[in-house]
Amino acid sequence: MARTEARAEILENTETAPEVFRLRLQAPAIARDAAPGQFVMVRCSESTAPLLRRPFSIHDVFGPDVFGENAAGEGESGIVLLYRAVGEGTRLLSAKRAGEFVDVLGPLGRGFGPFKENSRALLVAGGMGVAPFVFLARRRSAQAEITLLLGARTWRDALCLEDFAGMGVPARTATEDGSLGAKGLVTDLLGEAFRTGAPDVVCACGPAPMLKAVAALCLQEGVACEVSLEAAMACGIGVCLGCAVAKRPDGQGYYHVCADGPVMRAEDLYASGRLAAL
Amino acid sequence: MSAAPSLGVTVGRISMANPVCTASGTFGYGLEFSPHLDLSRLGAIAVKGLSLLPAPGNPPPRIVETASGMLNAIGLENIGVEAFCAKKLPLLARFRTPVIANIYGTTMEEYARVAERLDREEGIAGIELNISCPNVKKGGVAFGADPKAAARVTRAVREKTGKTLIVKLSPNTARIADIALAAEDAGADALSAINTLTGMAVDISTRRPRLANITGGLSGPAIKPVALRMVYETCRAVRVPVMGVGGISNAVDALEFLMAGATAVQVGTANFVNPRAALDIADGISAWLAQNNIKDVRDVIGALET
Repeated sequence: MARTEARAEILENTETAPEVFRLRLQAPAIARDAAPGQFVMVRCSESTAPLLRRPFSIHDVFGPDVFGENAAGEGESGIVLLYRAVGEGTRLLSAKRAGEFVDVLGPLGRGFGPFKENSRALLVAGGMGVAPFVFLARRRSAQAEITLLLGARTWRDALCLEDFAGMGVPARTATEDGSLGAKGLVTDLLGEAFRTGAPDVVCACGPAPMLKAVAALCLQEGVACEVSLEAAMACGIGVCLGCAVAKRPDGQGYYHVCADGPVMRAEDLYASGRLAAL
Repeated sequence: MSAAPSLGVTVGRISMANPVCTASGTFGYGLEFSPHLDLSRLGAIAVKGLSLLPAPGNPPPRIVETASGMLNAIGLENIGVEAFCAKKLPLLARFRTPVIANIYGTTMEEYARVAERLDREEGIAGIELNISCPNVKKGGVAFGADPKAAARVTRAVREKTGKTLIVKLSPNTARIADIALAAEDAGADALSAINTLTGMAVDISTRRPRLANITGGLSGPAIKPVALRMVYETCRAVRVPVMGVGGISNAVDALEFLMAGATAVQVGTANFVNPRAALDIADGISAWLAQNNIKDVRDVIGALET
């Protein structure tokens, strides 16, 4: 559980889609220790406004030492974050330029569990929820047969398709307005995929209602499912206890997204016996 | 280059190597921060509030950011005093830093029993009595807003422990000095002030409160001027040492509290933003003293000129 607080140089911070930014940070130690599904906490301002760090999933890693060839960490090596400038913190972050520095803490939390050798994995993403799957696919595409199911409101919000194409990972898309791929929700694609042969594991990241719907389908079909959660959090390291999420209805108490997650098993969150209520 | 300034202070019978303690509820059980700083270099560590039995805490959402601050309604989630003594305390004992156990109960008896349990532990230097949490229905601030109730619970705990007893005061009261005096008279060795200020935030799009608990406790730089004023009033009212808490984010903030009369400070919300905050503040105090040719931090405590 190595984690580092690093003053990381911004190598690139560019708008890749309207209001969506790709932030490349020089952070060799975090890149070396990161596992897919983990996150970092970034300080978006040096002042007290906004006060708290912001959590971002690790979108990708780069650099030679990530692959164990350059333990000294020379040259460019670090992490990539993909974020939407929606609030005060992310807007300030989006104004930062290459050459400036930001304070990053990570890697944090529990990422996606290991895939079985030669297994079939479905990655189900909604909107910005695609962010951690680029890192996941990059690490796992050799050991598992991965397919991406991507849902978005419209074609502009269907991100990262070229990244998956570059890795040879097939992708199917659904948009709510039908402007790209199938017209409908990503869960429609998941239902179709199940009908043509269930995968060994489903990994989901996106809005909470989507995660619930994906988990419900998987629990019904008896397919292993992991969901990546989001929650407001102050510390990211398990001490503020702000990011509580209720255990499944027959359980007691709460998990903490930062320490028990952000990736959690569907059966720990949603009770299979209460699918109708989901 | 002259010798480094002396930073040691004493709170009750707790000798602190420097005047910086971590504030309860913002530093977990201490160990979570060991990747970021040497826990041995802290003045003291106040751990998350402990109750007799494990407590699950409040439903989410529990926190919301506000202007230069945050509201929380965690609801004192904790692992319970037994699990703390069995699992956390032995690991904390490896560091030489004094450990202050923050405790709370929903009844006077619960407070007394938690104190009694901790009194047996060698690794505990002091007990901080939380009579000021705004986020639990029973206990907490119910004891902290009324001088008579504060005195009763302080006395009940005093009877159960010989360890340094620190009473943590609530700002959610008309006259903090009255509560301070009541706690001092009832046997407190020291006081800490302040806990969070009760506050609220509304999501206008849903017309709902942003916290499931509706209200929460405000912390962070936003509350520092209020905390400083209340620490100043408390220090003028009592003779026991006071630990100043509330929005301290840097060494200058800490020095303000020391000059206002606090013997030590506690660093809270700043730990969330900068996990090394408490140590950075201790180092910053030392550097400021050296720059100003002040040999002993005790020379600035209460040095306010009015």
